[in-house]
Amino acid sequence: MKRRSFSTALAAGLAAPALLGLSKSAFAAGGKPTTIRIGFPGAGTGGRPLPSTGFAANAVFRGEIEQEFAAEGIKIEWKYFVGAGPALNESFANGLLDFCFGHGDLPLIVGRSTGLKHKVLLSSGRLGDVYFVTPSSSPAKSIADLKGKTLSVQKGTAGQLQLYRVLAKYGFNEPEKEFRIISQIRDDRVASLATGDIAGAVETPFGLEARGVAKRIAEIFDDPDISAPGSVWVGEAFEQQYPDIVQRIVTRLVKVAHWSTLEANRETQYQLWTRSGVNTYIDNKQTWSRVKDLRTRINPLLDDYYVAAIKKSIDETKKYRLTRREVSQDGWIERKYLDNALRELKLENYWPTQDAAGKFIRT
Amino acid sequence: MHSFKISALAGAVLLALSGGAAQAEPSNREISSLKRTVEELRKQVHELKSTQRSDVDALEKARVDELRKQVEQLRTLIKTQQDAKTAEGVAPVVAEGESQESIDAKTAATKADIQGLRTDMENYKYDQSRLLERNVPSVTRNTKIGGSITARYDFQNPGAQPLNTSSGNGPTDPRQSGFNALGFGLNFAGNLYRDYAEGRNLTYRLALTSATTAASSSTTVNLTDAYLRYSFQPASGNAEDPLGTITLGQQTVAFGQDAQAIDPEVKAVIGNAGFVGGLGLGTRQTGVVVSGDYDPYVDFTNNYRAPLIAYSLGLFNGNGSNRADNNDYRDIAGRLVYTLPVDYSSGFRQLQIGASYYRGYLSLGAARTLGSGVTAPTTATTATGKGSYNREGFDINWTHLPYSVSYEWAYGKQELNTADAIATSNPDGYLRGVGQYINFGYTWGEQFLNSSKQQGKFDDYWPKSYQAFLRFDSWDPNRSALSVNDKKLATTLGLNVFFAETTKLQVNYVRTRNQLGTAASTDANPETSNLWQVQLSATF
Repeated sequence: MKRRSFSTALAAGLAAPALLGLSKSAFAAGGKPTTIRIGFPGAGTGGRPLPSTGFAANAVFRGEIEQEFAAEGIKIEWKYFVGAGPALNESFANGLLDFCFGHGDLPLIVGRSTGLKHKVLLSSGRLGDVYFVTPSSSPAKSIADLKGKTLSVQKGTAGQLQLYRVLAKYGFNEPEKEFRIISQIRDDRVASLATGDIAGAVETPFGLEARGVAKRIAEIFDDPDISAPGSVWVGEAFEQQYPDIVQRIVTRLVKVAHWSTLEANRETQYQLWTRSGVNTYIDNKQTWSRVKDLRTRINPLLDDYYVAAIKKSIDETKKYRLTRREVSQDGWIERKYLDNALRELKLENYWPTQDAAGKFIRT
Repeated sequence: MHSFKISALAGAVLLALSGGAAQAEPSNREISSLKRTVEELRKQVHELKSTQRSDVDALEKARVDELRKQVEQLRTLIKTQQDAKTAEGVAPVVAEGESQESIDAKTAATKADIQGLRTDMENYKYDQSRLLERNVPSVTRNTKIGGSITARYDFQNPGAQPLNTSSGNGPTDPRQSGFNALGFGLNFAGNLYRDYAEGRNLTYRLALTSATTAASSSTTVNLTDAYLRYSFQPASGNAEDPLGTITLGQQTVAFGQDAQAIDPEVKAVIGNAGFVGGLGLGTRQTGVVVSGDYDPYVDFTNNYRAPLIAYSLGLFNGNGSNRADNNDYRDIAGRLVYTLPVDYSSGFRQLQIGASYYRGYLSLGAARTLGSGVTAPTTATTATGKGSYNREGFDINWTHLPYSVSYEWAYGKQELNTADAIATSNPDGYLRGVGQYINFGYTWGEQFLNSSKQQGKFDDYWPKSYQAFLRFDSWDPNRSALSVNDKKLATTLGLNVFFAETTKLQVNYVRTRNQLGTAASTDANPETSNLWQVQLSATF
């Protein structure tokens, strides 16, 4: 009897904290969550919990989501992952995230291939500039001169596929065989460029060039074949339990996206994005000054280009053996929230759309 | 330009007319007529010239007037702007509803603004250099300083009995509860040589820990880790590259799992498993160790790294920590760990199977005294021969948060001096002991996820984490058929609350059953005992 009581006590002792743990989840018993947990695949310099660019970042800086749920007392918990998209996957896999505000194509696809269940709600942005840099002392004049040398990228992130595409553009279709490609986070990569430990990388060049550390040997502007769109998603469980909350977040994001495309707010954004320290104000201005119509990059649509670009990325992950399982787009993209938001905000025809090849068909 | 053209045309007409008159043979009447015509033409040209000149002048005048007007307007505008600047500083023209950021972008900085900024920068530079010189400690080499403070309160029933000796932590009166003296750890680690080119770095670690005694009010500080480590495999930071190091100095011995958890900041359970102390595994050794891994499997989509094989091979004095070698024999320790090469999403993630082996040697002395358990050799007053001892271990660990299960088995065999008292129960001259434990854990919170550890955060924010566990542990110090009823079974139920990465509050309840056989249970040797421990371990 004594032994039995002891065993019962042990079982109760273990069960109590387990139940306590479950109660800490964001899922409240009522119709609304107590907390909405939103992740960004990145952080500011020195690990500062700040986003760096895009309309999703503007939603943070302007306190949009907090304002949306302030009346109900729903807490917004932001998470910024220095480990980028892969770290965000790990967090979601462990039930610690509800939304992602801008996942790169590779971690998004591989995450889904490994069973992560989420619904794509809208695109977080598209296009962009790509610079290939080498140490300033490098004699290389082109990417071809770097064949066989060490390149750096944070593997598992969208940057990995983007690097492969850049190399393919210059005729290298088997990047892992034709180069030695190592995985480094951005801080390490920048340090390695300074020390000459790597021969090249895709990296923002302005700060490095100002310090005399690196030089660019190739630059590609707004190429839809090189830069894949980012994605905003919600966890399936959250979406099923709180569709109204999801709609409110999507509508708010589309509203912020619209605000972000207005020319009058261009300067405001440059300064907001500077807060993370990733890019300086001058760099933001330089990078975006070529973008005459902000809607071409700040674009939440799930148009033909978005679908085709993600499909292309899926094919590339298979080609480069970055996934072991098939990934289907069926049932993955949930358009109704975006459609409702565009209709409610009367923005159905506001954004330019691109065809599957990336050509603008409506401006 | 226009008047020049008209003058040239008139001159050309006159020349043409005068040239024709000279070549003919004209009559006086014709000459007079021509003269009149010439005069008339001259008059017309003159009139034409006069008329056109006045038109051009009027046009030019109008243009000049217009230009003058524009210049005046510009002068007025400039004056207005200068007046505005004088009144309000540098203020651009602002459109209605324009954002402050847009206005800022159009606003030029004055020389005084730049001078002010420079003054601020110079002040900052001065403050930084002054702080570095006066308030920031400096080190010769790259150094990271860390440590821990540990405090514990125990309650046990039956209480601890008085000891005959005054050493150790034993009470001088029967005691059921009380605070344990504070313990601290202090460590220094860093790079002696950083190989930027290939990552073959040379690093060091020096660690100290306190030990308290009941006999003295002073604290004894002991050296724990003191080693140099060289990376023979490039530590490039690339997860796909294998790791490999050589470590020289005093260090923990890679045997199993629990034996390596010596320091409080890394221990999930306050007390070690029975076999760790029983087989003398919970100590550091001085020697050289080659360790690393082979063929790491990396799932970059979750930052998950699983080396197929991790290895460690060491050569030690075998005489414990902070001691010179006591004989001429070196001990050997080896460990292999196999990790399943699966994705992070796999149910078999972080399933590890390990095997450990330790071969030691000792001098067998006639005057050796051993306790009831298999203990590591200490000293021998008279060496009469070379003896040996083996430790063999097997462990399996599965950590798939929030769940974790770990099992470990360890066996020890030690050669005895036939003159030792314990040899009577071990007639073959070997003492054998065996122990094992299984631990079930449930963890909630973010503490142990890499993604959370590396999460961007201000200051000292750490998510709280909780870890509940249940451990069953058994230890048989002498497996001889002639030595029965000497097993010890301990069940530990615990909860760890992590406030920061390694700062935790630990609550352990340990119920111990001692096999007594027919012997009566006493307070000194009870059949069952209960122990509550509450420990705060803060790491800095």
